[in-house]
Amino acid sequence: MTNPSASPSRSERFEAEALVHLGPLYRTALRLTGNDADAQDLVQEAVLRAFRFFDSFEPGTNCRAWLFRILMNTFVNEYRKRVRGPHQVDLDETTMSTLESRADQAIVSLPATPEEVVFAGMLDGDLKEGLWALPAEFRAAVLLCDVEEFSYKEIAEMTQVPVGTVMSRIHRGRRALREFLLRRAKPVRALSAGA
Amino acid sequence: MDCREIQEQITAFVDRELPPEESARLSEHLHACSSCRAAEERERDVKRLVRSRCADLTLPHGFAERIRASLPGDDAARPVPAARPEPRTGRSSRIAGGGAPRAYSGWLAAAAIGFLAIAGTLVWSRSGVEPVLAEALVDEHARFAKGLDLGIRESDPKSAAAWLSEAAGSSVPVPDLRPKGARMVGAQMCRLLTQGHGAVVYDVEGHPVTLFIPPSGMIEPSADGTSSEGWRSVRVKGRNAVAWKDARGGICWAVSDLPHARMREIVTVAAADR
Ligand SMILES: [Zn+2]
Repeated sequence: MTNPSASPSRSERFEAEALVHLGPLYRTALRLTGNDADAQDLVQEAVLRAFRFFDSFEPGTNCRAWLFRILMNTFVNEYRKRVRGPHQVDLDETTMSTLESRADQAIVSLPATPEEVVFAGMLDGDLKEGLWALPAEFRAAVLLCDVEEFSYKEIAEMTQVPVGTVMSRIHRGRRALREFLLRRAKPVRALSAGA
Repeated sequence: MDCREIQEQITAFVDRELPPEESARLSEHLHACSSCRAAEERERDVKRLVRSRCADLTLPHGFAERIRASLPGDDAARPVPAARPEPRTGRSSRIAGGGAPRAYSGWLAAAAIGFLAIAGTLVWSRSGVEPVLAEALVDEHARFAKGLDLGIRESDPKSAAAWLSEAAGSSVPVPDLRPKGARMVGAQMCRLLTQGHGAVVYDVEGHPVTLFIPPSGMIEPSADGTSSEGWRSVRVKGRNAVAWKDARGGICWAVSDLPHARMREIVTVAAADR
């Protein structure tokens, strides 16, 4: 099976089963690392590993989940060890609570406007910033759930934490994101109220 | 169950992670309790926002080719122009090559050269691309089938066509499948493929069927002709999908849990003139 002469079919299998997921891998990598160059590095490294271990992938099982597991693993073990940009600061749970309670205080002063209306006017840049303000673990959990639509169990396996932790990260991540966006949306509210 | 208990489960409820009985109990409470319902809406709003704004699939220019070139193994078998294998340290050249607009804001504009090109040409000729597209369509269908995310609820094909055509900026033909026993439920623009695919949801004897129809303005005239290709049938995530080229040369898809043959029979109206 590992006979070199068999490699063409292996490459083609890899093309058909794995490389079709480049889009989702890249968009997640982009939001994990925060920039295009690092995202490309991360995906390239993950794909190389996937290719190397492709024989251990069980045909018929979920290849996308398998690739994301490798991506997350590469992100945690290689990328974050190597790259510590000015923004790549780990926020622990205490910092997270502080962030949330500050948000709680801010929200009290906000008038009641349907959030849907506020969010509809949200700019992509605001959302990007809001996501970026989250600790990487929270950001990853939210993205893997909401964008990539993996189950809690799949995310738990990818990020090697219990299912309960996945749920709490998603919940708190969304909550913090929402508070961030509501604070950001204040001027818009004032404008629409005056109109 | 009190409200506190309920609200602890709302995240899992919104993500459809609760067992059916629990989920039923929760929705029962949500019907009756406005403060828990508000908590649910808060969670759902953010989920929806993240999902809709982060769904771009645009790759930096040349990235896929660089990835392929970096993989060890045969190059001959791959129909990829021989790209120079790039060492992992070659970041600067990547930045130069990928000096494209940020994927965040650029994906709508870039769809025409990115994913749209894949949908328009490759999907029909290379089986390797088909699964990911079909999977994406099945996901969209699953949401529509649950009554989620529909842009309009409409039973009249003409009105739906007008609505979709306006949203898409060019005409989206919506077939009247009533003679085939299909009642239209509603429609939405399908953002996952491109800015343009119209999705129309029908009900056939209790089975939801979603048709994905490209607007005329999005169909590229293909050099290899449109007539030689027939139906494609795939099974993804427990759903059946069929694809065909309509009279305009646009690739349409239908997704449902009905058998392929039944679906083809229903949508032959849509495939007229083939
Ligand atoms: Zn309640």
